[in-house]
Amino acid sequence: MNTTPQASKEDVLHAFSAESNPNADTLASYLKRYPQYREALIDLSIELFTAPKFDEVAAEKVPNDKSKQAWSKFQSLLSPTDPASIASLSMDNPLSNLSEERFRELASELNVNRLFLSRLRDCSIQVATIPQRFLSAVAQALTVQLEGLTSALEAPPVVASGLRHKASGKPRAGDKITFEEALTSSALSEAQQAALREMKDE
Amino acid sequence: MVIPLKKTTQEGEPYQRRSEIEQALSALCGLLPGQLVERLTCTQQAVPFEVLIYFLRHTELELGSKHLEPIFCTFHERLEAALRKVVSEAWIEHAVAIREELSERIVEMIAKDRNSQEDKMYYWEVNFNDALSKLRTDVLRKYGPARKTDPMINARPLTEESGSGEEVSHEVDIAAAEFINPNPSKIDDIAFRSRLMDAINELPEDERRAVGLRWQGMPIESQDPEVESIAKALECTERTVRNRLKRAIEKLRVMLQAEELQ
Repeated sequence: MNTTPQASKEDVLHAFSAESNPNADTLASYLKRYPQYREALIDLSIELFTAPKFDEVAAEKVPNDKSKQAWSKFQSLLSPTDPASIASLSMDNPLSNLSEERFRELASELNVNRLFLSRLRDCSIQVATIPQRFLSAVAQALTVQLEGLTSALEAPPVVASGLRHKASGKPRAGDKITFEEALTSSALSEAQQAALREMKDE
Repeated sequence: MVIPLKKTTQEGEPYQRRSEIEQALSALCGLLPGQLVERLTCTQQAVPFEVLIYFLRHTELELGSKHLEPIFCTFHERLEAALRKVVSEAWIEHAVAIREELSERIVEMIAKDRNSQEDKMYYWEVNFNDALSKLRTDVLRKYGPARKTDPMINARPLTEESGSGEEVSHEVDIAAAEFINPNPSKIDDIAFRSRLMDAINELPEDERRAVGLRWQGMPIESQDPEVESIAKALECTERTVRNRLKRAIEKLRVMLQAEELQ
């Protein structure tokens, strides 16, 4: 007894439409294999053949306000948990609201010390130099979206009052240090530094 | 790894994208977000629409607004450009409103798809052209040219077909070939092609099938039982096929000429 389930009409039509080249030869072979769906296959082949080829239009690259507007509309339609939604953009720095205890725990979870973590919290490290793997680990530990965390940390550095009053100039955004500088100047152990360096992007 | 389509066949197998789309996605999925954006927004080697849809609709990819925005804008600009060609002011009233309706519906569909975590837009990754074409047809039916002015309203009923006994010579074949392969620059023009394809879709069912199959290159008849022919596919005689082609071509001429005169 043949127990192979018979392909449904939907599956056959889908398979035909997913063919790279649904031409007369492809159609002929389908008609032979699935004579029971003859009419539907013929109609689909004609539909596909007569469908406009939207990809044929050359890509145009012009500044387009309509696309920007459409993007804003699109973002507003997304759920707040979506990493591309408007809500994700306005995320507060998730590191600055932690209790002292949680802050300590987090430092230990990430295998860093509190000085290093506070530099990260205060946006003192250039985000572009921080390995993605490390940022992902922080986002995961805080259960926030990576994108939101990244944009929060891209904010200008927070200058703790009284800390830099001796500096000759006013602190600026350019005062951010690189990830490597943060590694060597945060009193991290050799082992901690080595582990963090291993995370560096290619 | 490329995210498989969640929708499955009756046998539980996931539906597949076209192989060239799978290949393009595989090549892209190892890239860092910045590289990915650069590749997807490149205008020299534009990626297929299906690829853009993949990156727009799957939240699992975790692309945040910084990376998704340029991808979205590239998609939207290309969509607008394509719609300007196939829903043209030259031949449809309210073309601007119709294009806006289409574009807005698609944006809303993608957003809904992302929020629902279901797989409602899977076909857009399989065959974007067909999916958009169907949506375009729906919208045109609703907002497009009024049906009462449609020249096909006076089409001859099908029952006349075999009654007249009119002989159709092989000239129909030649006429069909000429019609089907007109001036290459004209048929390559996406706007003309689109009008022609729309006209074919407006034909009565039997004529549309005959023209549609002929256009795809299927022979009208064949002595070889192994070769599929239009007569076999439509289960009618060769003469009937020629009759239908003749009537269809005449109607298409009238429809397209009428449009060109406008």
